Amino acid sequence: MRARAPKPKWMKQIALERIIRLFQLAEQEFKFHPERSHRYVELARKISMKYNVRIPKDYKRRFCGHCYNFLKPGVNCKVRLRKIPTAYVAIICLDCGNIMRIPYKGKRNRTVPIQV
Amino acid sequence: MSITPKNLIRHELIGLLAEVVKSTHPNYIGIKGKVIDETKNTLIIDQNGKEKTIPKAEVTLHFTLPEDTIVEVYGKLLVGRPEDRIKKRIEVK
Repeated sequence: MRARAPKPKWMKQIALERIIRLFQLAEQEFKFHPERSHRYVELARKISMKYNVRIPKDYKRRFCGHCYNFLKPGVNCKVRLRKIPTAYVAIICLDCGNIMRIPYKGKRNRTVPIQV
Repeated sequence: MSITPKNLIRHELIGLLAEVVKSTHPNYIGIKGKVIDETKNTLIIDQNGKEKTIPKAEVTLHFTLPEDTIVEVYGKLLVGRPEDRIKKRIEVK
């Protein structure tokens, strides 16, 4: 089967600019219109998937991995440092209860030894 | 961020200031505000707190770009879902 042709560079460039712009708008609009922020995240994800463009690293953790809501610490999410069984940052979405875990130190460094 | 008059058709309209200057329907003329959402055939503009939905195909719009340039656009060129507009479209002359 013939593979799908990749999208041209200029298209991907515009897609990336639009994704960045949408996340900036989501940040601005969140205080008074959070539903618009959620919608902008949805649009950014659609563009990212359609043109196969990665969402920039700074914005990757700004939305919930389960319900895709825009997250603002203190308002609709909790950020905690947890050490057991490994060291990780926990981002807890208060709308759907999903927990995103980001290990820092590496999963191999367990802080609690495994019981044999 | 480089929204230029040339790539406005493909770029993000949400967040720009827009004004309707010409329309086949008289009640749409004069609607002015920030674009907050977009669908295949419509733009939703926030005018002083009220959300106005206007069909793209029926209007001519003035967009205010970041460098304070104003671009006049036929709405017909903007028809299409926001994620589809990034693909190049043939210009109507």
